Amino acid sequence: MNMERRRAESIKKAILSQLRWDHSIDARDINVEVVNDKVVLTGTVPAYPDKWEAEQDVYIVDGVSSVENDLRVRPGSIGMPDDDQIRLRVESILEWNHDIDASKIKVSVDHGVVTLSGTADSYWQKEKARDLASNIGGVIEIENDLKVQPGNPVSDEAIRKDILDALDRSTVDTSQINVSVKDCTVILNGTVNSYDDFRDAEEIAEFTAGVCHVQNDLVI
Amino acid sequence: MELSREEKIRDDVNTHLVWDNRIDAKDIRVEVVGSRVILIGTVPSYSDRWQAEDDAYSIPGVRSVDNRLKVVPAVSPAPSDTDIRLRVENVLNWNPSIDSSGILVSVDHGVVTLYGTVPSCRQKDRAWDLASGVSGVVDVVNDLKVRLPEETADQTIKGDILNTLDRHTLIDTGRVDVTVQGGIVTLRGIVDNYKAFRTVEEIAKFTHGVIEVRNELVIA
Repeated sequence: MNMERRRAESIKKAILSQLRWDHSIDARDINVEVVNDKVVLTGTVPAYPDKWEAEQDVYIVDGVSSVENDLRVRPGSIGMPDDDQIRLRVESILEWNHDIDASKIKVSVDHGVVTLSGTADSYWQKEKARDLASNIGGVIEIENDLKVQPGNPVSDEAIRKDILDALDRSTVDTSQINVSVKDCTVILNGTVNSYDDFRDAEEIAEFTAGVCHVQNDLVI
Repeated sequence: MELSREEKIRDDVNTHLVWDNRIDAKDIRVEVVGSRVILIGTVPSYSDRWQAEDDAYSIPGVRSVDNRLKVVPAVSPAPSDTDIRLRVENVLNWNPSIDSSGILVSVDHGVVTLYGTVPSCRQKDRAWDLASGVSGVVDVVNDLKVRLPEETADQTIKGDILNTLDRHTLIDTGRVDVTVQGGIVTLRGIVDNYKAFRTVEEIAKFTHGVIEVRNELVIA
């Protein structure tokens, strides 16, 4: 019990150092709690991308196996774009990207909360749309309601085989990873040795043709 | 014996490029010399170009990638240089994590050059990232200079980098040598794979007070 607590304390200390090291995010109002190997982040950050960067900073710390990210983005101050401006900017950044078919996406904004609705041809394009929207100042949250409708549907069996083959070609240690596919949704579970493998396995599933959704239940 | 190893790498890179749903790989040719991959041909966007490079690097056994891919934008009508410049400027101005007031953008036949100053290496990277996502862009030359708001002692920078490498799960710090002079970091030594090569470079780049990183690490 005491060992556990000491271990949690040392992980927490490393996380706080990591967040302090990262000058690109204002971490003053981030609270870190460590329960066993799980990390819970609460509090606020000034911009939406900071929320995800803080999570990445935490994941790479030795000993962290999962992160619950409950960070909130502080609403904009004076000089921030209003909802209409945010909407126009999100629409523009989507339209200017080669990978996205913006004609199928509808953007709405309410008090800085962006909702993306409509359809995307693939799951990675759906995620890409979110990434692009997160690059607009004034955004405090993104609801990604895009439905994935693959242009050329692929059978679940073929998707699974494609993912397994791609994992085999990669550096990811696949010995303890399970891949299942149902109605074009991929579920990854099992264990991996590092955050890099965790991310790589998820990306491999994401970039495979025909995939509508990826649920990453891997544990580090 | 050596030949079959090269063929295996070539097959794996080829298969990986065809598998990757993000990339239009039909006009990419792959050649392998030893553990060096050469990518030849054309792709329809700048993001395809570097995603193809990343894919090649992700195959075990690949130690360097010579990316000779040319970008031939597939958007019609192709945006003019002025359009591209305005888009890049907007995308930089709208980003909450970049101080774009010192950034200048010029475009010539789709080749974007970023120059002027930013307050950190991370912002320099981000600016490149954002510019490279704009459709019609054929290449991005990043001539931005980092001008720090205040200087940090070289000793402090070095300590910060070493501590952060230590916290990272994947890096064997015993084999990496870090020297800092006038805010310029030079990395030497050996890492296991491309992922570690990139991670060490990023950690150095994102450390406070760094104005430039020279990555002379060897993948072995």
